[in-house]
Amino acid sequence: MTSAVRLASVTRRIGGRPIVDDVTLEVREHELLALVGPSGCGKSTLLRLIAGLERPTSGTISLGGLDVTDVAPERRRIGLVFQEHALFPHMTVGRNIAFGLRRFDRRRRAERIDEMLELVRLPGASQRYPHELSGGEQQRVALARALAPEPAAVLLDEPFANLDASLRDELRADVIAALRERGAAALLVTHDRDEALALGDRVAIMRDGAIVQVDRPEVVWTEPADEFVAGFLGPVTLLPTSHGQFELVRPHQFDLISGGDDRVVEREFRGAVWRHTIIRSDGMQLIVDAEPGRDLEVGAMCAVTVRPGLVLARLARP
Amino acid sequence: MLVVVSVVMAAPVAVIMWSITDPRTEVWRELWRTRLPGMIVDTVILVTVVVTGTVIVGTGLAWLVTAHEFRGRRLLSWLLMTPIAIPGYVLGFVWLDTLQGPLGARAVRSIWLCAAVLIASLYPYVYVFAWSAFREQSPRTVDVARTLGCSSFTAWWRVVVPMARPSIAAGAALVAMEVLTDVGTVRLFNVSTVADGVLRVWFGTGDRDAAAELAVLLIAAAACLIAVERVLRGRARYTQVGTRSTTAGRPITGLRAAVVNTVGWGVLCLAVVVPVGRLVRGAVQAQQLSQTATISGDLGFHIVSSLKVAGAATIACLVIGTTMVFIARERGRWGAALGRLASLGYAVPGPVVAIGVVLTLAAVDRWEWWPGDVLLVGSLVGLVYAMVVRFLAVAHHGIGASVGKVSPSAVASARTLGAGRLRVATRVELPLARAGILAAATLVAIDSLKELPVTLLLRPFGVEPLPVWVWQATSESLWVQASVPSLMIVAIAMPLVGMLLWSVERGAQVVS
Repeated sequence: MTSAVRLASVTRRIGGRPIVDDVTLEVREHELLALVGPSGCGKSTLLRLIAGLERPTSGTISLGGLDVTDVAPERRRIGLVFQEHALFPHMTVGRNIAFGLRRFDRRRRAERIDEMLELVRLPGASQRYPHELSGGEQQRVALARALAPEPAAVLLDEPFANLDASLRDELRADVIAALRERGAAALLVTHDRDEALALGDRVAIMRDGAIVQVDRPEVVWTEPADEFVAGFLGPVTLLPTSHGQFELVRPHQFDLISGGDDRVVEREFRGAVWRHTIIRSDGMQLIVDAEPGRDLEVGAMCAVTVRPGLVLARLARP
Repeated sequence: MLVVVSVVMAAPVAVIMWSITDPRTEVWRELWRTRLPGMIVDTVILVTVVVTGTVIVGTGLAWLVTAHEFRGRRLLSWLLMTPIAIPGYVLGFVWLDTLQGPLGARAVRSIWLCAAVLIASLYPYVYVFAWSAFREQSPRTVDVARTLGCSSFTAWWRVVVPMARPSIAAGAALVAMEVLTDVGTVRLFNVSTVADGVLRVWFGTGDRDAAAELAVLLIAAAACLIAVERVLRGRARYTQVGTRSTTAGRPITGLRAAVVNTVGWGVLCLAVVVPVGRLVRGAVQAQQLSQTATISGDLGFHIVSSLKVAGAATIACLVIGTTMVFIARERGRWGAALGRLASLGYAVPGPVVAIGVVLTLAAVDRWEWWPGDVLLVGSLVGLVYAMVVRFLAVAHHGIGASVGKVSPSAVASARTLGAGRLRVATRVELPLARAGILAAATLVAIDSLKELPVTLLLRPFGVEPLPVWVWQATSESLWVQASVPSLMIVAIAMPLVGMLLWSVERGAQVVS
């Protein structure tokens, strides 16, 4: 099967410093790949390289099997959606969507605009101006505009970051549905680990310009490549085993019992659970969740055990 | 207080408008039969050609220096604003003198050459507006346009320029206003526009009322311009949310860079380098021929006159403008309306303002409100008053825009920390708006330093600012003699332009 996007040993240096460092990555046909990593790790630069807005210092980029490393962005058939929607403020929604449809005749263009607005669940909005829409609606239009010319792949740069939580979930579901319906390959850049795990068919984790791990969300979660990946995906405690390896224990996998040598130093209410920070008698710090009713006060002495019978995550590369 | 200021500022315009209620039909009939149709045609041609030219040159240059990255780009992008320091009438006589030889004395006095000179001296207005608009745009927008199939130029043409349209329109409206009001340059090239006609009626027949009535035509034209500009803004809103990152231009080298540099430096040569060079040469010649015979025989006297007038006008504009911005904000809708009333003078050509001021002050003088023989007409107060009427809007808009940009949360923080309104204004808002206020001040200073018609009509006895000297020398075709005062104007204005650029770099809003 050909891949929609393939990067081979792509490096991008600015002033000698590698922003993207020897990245090899592919986005398969019809796949949504979530690219996640801390701020400033090079995610957005990687995306700009794929779009052709920047040129790699070395390495090759191919789209649908064709080498496009030296092809101008306007000839790459890439759709782009930014965090700040970047709609053209001087054009109506309809004209925004039609922007990439210059080869279409008038009738087909009108049809495509309607079809796209239907797809992003904004029917009839074509005559409105961007500033007359809410943030979520603007983002829907941005997606419709990117999808209208049927691009080889859609690149989404933190598309949900500027929206408030309630709106975000709904929009997220709609965007994914729209992408799936068009069968478009998509690369979603985000710094939100929950978003990456929930939306990605596969998840790529990036750090300091390099890809650390690419795999299905559940694999990344249970077999993180290293301590960084494990910690990035959520709070975790590394317990050394007798074999010189580590077991990765998530906060909900502990049992908390009153009385013992360990001490609660801090706690925080998170709705479903209380999250405790506990210093063990040997000085190790643990993060432990307990349901309300089983929680302990700050300063309480306690004992922490790993709940029996669980499959614990291990580092793939100890 | 706001009401008083607004009424005082709007009075000269109101007086002019009043004059039309009692038209002198015989004067109009005479004008219509002889010169008026020609004046209107010339004015329309000149305004159209110069506006088109400045929009093309100004927008094009702004694109060259914002969309590309090349060695010397920053320097070039700053220098391209310096023609603001050279008045049109100075640029006009320099080129007239230069081209007279090859073209002949008759051919050189054409409306087209006049338009070319005005384009060279006025394009910076469009350039500075377009330049800051391009820089404010989010680079993401161009990125998206590129991925949707636009080449770099198409993206500029289809997205960047339309988004900057309101700013470009504002710059073009300013240019049109300047052309409407210009009297110095057009007179040099024997182009008779309506503004020139106003002056001719004033000086030729001494009929002040007839001149005022003719001036109403100019107000009407200015009103049309403002209306057109408003319509061009349309329904779309152009402000963009999102991070404003410094747009990195496309790096260019070799032939492309050479072409861009040639265009940029070529314009600079025509508008600044050659004229200033000629002025220096003229000034040296004047020294050698000891033709520095000034009106009063003293160069320093003229410089002091100019500085006095420009300085007083600038300070007055700043104080009144700042006060108005803060008072208007407290008063809401009324304040805004009064602010617009006080800014009326900017939409009214210089000669008209001058005539309005004379008529207003003459009326006040008739009251004999002051003991003794002190008259406001023909006093320094009258001249500065007219300058303030004319340029208050520049200060008011600039300061308003900069104070408006101060984050509301900074103001809220200061208030909750126990600072009163006055303290917030002096300790938080004004310091934060510093760059904008400086920009407004330099703009007013440059404008009032160059202003010819107001100075010409209202200069009091014993005050002879530099533009008047230039005017007198050039009306007798004494090019060499005109070089000295012209060079002085440029020498004073250049550092001001430098200050303007400095403050714009620090985020001053020149575009309201």
